[in-house]
Amino acid sequence: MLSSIAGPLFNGLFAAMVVFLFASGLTLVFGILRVLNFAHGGLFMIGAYLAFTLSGVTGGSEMGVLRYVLLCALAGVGLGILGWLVERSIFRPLQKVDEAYSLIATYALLLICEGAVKAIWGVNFRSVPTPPLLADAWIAGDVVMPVYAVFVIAVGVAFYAALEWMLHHTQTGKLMKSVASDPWMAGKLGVNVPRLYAWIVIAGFFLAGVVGGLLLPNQTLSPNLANAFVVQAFGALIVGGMGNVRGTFLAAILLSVIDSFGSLYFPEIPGLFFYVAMAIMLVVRPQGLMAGGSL
Amino acid sequence: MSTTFTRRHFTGLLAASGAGALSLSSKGARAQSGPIRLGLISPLSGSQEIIGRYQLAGATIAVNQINQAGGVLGRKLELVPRDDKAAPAAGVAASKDLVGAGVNLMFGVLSSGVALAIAPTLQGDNAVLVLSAASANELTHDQFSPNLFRISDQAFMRQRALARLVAADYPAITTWTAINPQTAIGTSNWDSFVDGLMQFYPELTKKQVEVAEAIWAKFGATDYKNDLTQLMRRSSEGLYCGVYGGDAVTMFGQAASYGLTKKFKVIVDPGSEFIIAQAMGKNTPPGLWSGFHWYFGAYKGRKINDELYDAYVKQTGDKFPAGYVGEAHAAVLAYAAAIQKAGGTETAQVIRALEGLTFDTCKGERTIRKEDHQAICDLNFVQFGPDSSDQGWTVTGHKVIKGADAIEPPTPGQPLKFQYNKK
Repeated sequence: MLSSIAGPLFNGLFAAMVVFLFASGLTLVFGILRVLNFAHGGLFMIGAYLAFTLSGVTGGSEMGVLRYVLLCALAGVGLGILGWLVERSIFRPLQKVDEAYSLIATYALLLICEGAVKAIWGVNFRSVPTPPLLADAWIAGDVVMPVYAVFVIAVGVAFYAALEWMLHHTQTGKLMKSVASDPWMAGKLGVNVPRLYAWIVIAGFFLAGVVGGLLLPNQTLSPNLANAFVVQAFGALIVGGMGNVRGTFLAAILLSVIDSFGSLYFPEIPGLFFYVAMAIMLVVRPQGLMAGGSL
Repeated sequence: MSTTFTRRHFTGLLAASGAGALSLSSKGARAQSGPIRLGLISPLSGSQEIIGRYQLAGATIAVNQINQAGGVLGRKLELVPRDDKAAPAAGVAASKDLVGAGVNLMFGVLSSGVALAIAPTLQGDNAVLVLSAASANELTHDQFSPNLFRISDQAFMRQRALARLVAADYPAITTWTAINPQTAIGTSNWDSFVDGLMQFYPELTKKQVEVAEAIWAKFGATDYKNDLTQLMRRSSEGLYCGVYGGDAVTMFGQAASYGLTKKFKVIVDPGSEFIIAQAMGKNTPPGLWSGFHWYFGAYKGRKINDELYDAYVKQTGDKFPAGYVGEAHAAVLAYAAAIQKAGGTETAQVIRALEGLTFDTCKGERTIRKEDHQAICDLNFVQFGPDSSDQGWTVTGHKVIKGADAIEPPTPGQPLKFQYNKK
């Protein structure tokens, strides 16, 4: 009984945190800039490759937790710098034109990311083992809980808590919400909107890089990695309320846990329940779980 | 660390293959002078680009070798590559494009879906397609086309040969289960493997085999935890890992925490070749058997094999050619032998010549059956394990099983019948 509920619940929570972590940067950028960044998967992939290369440079793919965390942070910094360049060269000019152009631009950026990965790292599959300290598993009855999965769940919850705190309890967060709500008025009241936009893009890219590094031991590196979580992340973003961090977090949990139970009890249609749950939620609550205000 | 196959190598191959000189002269190819043009249909971009690169490399080497030896019927060969993106619609477009350009002799194709889409168009287009990788059983059974040939192995014979290998080498392992992708080829592979288990265990070991229900995973899944949890509850000792390629790397990586490779005494996979070992290095599952289209190490000392291997390493810097290299190479050799035998390149002539053709390749002689156009060829399997070298893995063994020991009787136009009911 324990294993038939706790097992898929645990695995669903892990999948949820993976989706939320992936979607966090996406949500932040959409919530404030209203730019649906199709390139986010590509940025996540570059973050993972960057962490992979850094692991080789700093002593090999077998690494301790501290080096692993540092590599994630470095991958985030690398992507943050890329974010600054992209904001200046692509996002900023596009703020003055129709939103459709930003969709095309971010799709082009995704293609550039894929091409860059092939050119720099090639098309061969690569992988990195889980750091030894996280490689074991905790066993409760016959429920197996890999320590790495527990770590990712903890990081996901911590990310969410940090974002919530930042958005709702800091001066910066309040400024971000004001800009998201009405950028023109915020500008008139003295907020440096372009600079805030730039920092949001940098933060979104930074998150993509960090999460790319974080999920590196769980995935296979290939130029197809960009597509790994995109559909689920957009699903959580839409069901959550289009750019609402709390909504995205809740949607990721609901969709992933339902999918986990569905895949276990209906193994002949694995993965289908994510979309079924998404469709039902959109029918029941088309405005999203947390609609009524961005972020 | 092995040198990887980079974009620079790939671009060089495309240039060397004559991709830059793709004139659309529809009459040129059928002329009795000038080069004989062979169309390669392969995923040269998209998610399967890595395989396309291997096919292009093998084909280019074969064309160069034949041309250096004087060509066929005194004419040079010219390779005309087209990208099918491993997508059926793009494959049909590539085939039509080649036909429109006057190329009636085509080969390659990785995806069975692409091959199944092209097959019905061949007769109307008066073209021939020699498959060098697509492995769906239907292609030489219920979807048989008189203009379609396959010089590589198919799912049924490969998986039955794998079953024969485990029955012979692991007679004590009589309980099996699987984790398979929820795809047509995943089902076909598993059914074929079970068919082989049911036949070869009683034949070779005088024991009955017990097959537990397979776990069906989403194709391209990013998370296998639910599947792994179920696998760990199975009491079987042998695991058939139908999840292959990059998915297998992801699955084995996530399985480390579960102790999967310690639980199962034998693990086999249908055809990841070097992918798992090269990606996982020191974390390669010990004792993993993998199916190969062609394993160069099994044919050392054989002239065609050694020359192909040396040419591939020289051209790409990669010391571990995938089997797709050898199969694309063999497809060009099949055409060369058939054209020589036919004395021309007309479609009907070449079809007649290919039927029953015996020709030499990097993995020995192959004979294309006249009835269903399926080649009888060797089946290659390689065993991997981790080691202390820089690359982190090594080949710990290999097996060659004769195609005649695993292939089914020809029944073109009829669906493949399994001899045994799977549980």
